[in-house]
Amino acid sequence: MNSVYSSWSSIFIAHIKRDILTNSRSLIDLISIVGFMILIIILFPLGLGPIQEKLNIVSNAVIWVGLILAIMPSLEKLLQKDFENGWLDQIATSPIPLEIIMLSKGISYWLIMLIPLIITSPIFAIFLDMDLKNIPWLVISISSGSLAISLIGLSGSALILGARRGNILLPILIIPLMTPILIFGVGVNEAIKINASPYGNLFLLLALTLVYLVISPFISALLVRIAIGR
Amino acid sequence: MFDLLANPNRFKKITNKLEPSLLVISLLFIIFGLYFSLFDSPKDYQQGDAVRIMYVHVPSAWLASFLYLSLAISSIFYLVWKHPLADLISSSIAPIGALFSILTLITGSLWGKPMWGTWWVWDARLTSMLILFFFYLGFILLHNAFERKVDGSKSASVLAIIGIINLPIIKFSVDWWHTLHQPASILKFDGPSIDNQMLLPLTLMIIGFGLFSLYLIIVNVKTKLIEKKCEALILKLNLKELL
Amino acid sequence: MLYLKDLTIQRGNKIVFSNFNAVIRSGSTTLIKGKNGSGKSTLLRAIAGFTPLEGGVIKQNKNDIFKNNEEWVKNLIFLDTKNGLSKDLTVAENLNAWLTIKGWSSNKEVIKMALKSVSMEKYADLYISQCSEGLKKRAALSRLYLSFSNNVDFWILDEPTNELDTSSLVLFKKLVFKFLKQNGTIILASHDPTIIEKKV
Repeated sequence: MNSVYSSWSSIFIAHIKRDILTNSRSLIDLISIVGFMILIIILFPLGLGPIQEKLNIVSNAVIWVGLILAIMPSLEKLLQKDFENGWLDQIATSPIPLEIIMLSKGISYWLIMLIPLIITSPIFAIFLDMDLKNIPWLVISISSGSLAISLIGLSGSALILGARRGNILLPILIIPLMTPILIFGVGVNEAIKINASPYGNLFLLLALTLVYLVISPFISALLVRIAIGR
Repeated sequence: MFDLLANPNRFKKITNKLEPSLLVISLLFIIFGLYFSLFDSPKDYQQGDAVRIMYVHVPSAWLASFLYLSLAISSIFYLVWKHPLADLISSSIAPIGALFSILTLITGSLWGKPMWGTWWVWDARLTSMLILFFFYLGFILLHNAFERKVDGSKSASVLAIIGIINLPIIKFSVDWWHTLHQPASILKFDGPSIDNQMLLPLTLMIIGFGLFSLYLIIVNVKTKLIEKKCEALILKLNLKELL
Repeated sequence: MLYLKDLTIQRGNKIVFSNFNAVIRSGSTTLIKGKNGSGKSTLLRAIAGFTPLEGGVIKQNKNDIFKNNEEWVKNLIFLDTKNGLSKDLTVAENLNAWLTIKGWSSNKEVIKMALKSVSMEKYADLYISQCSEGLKKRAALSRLYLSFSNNVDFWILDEPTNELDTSSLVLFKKLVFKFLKQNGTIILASHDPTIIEKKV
């Protein structure tokens, strides 16, 4: 039994490495995510006018909303690529449970696409005139919530496997699911702004991340089985 | 109940008898309900006549939520027991549920104008209802997003289940986020706090709406059964031509 | 032995097989012929355990392949027209990733030998996106070589020879003969029946 789990964990890590290697070869996805994010950030000052106080009020929310929007185009490809080239069939004929591979997919997506956004988020915060005391909490809240976002995105990308116009469908299916993450994530910094404790929101955010860490691999694996069984 | 109806022919037999009486009874409930709610119930001492919107708003909101629960249950039936009728039932429920959630949103916004002074208030319950509407919309879109029709059924069923897991979380988070709405006043542990004269039309309307949507679902399922038969016939005819 | 009992398989609303029965002996090659769209691939995907059955059972000896899927896929290599190769990885990296998810030991030597079996050793570091269709197919077929060291009993191959030139076809046939000698079982769909005519 023990050896089964150790082989699962080594396959799990190997598959994350494979995904990172795959994505490191074509940086287009990553560049377009960060570029899209910057453009969303630019749109707000242009829309609101260059008044610093207004930007300060919305900065926290804009970064969170930008994060959710910016990853949408890349989520479509998250499983679709491996579905089209037959890799998911090969995984289905391997002794490792599909759930483990799905978990590795969710985590590798987080490492590849969301870590860069977490790292660059302080720059966006400065662009939007966020108070300096809020910036560390922004990074903390995004770090805690973004894994949940990528796991929800994983199930979303499993939902549209094989669908027509999946790219248009995907945001409608998963943005509603991401609303709790947005609410608690933004809540962390809003609490700081009024000198209240941020931990209520932060713990709820972490709890949700744990919930999705458990259910998302199962749901995604179920959907992948449905897709390759068609 | 489900086993009894699982056979399409038996389903047709039973529902053929049920259908006309369901329509008549539900319309009677709605007509009486409307009469009481519009003419024979007291004004609210704060809200005046505007409170009468409640008799449409509350039943629609209840049905929108209840129908989503039914959608999720029949989706589970479809995924576990793979009975095609369960899929027909869920895909028949979805548009009706979506309609009731829209009706809730419209009446809510109409009610909001005299009460809060604006057409739309970002209140917790209206926001949750808006998100519920998007779950219905997602179900309908995903169900129709595949080249072969049945291919969407399973994925959409999983979406319905994802929805039922997530709706409580969303509801909780939205409540956490904000609440402007008056607290729930019908389902309280110490008994209803609204006037009995208001409760009567409300009950009539809820039963009427419920029976009427059951009627609509049955009609919808029957239409889809006929559609399916037609498709099968066309497939057969095409094959004969090829031979 | 693989038993297919009373199989009913649906594709969309269409029933492509109903009450289909067959027994596939160990150490044999079964060729599934048929027109395009006749359901060859669907049948293979059902045998591989992807497409759920509407009715019937598929048993390997006494093991129901859907109930005890892990046992079944352990001894199986499935290959269809989608080769299962990531275009952003090289030929060797793809093979390495495949070996790891199969849970088999992987090292440079093993990969080199496998690629040599389809005379691909020159192309080990070529990206799949730079490969022609024929090279991709050969890269995918190199997995078959790994059956000999990993106790594989079954190959399920869907149109394996479509893009192959004559010299690669010879290499493929070599692999097939070697596998059959070791009592391996091949289930093959192709519209070209000549691939196995040299058998017997």
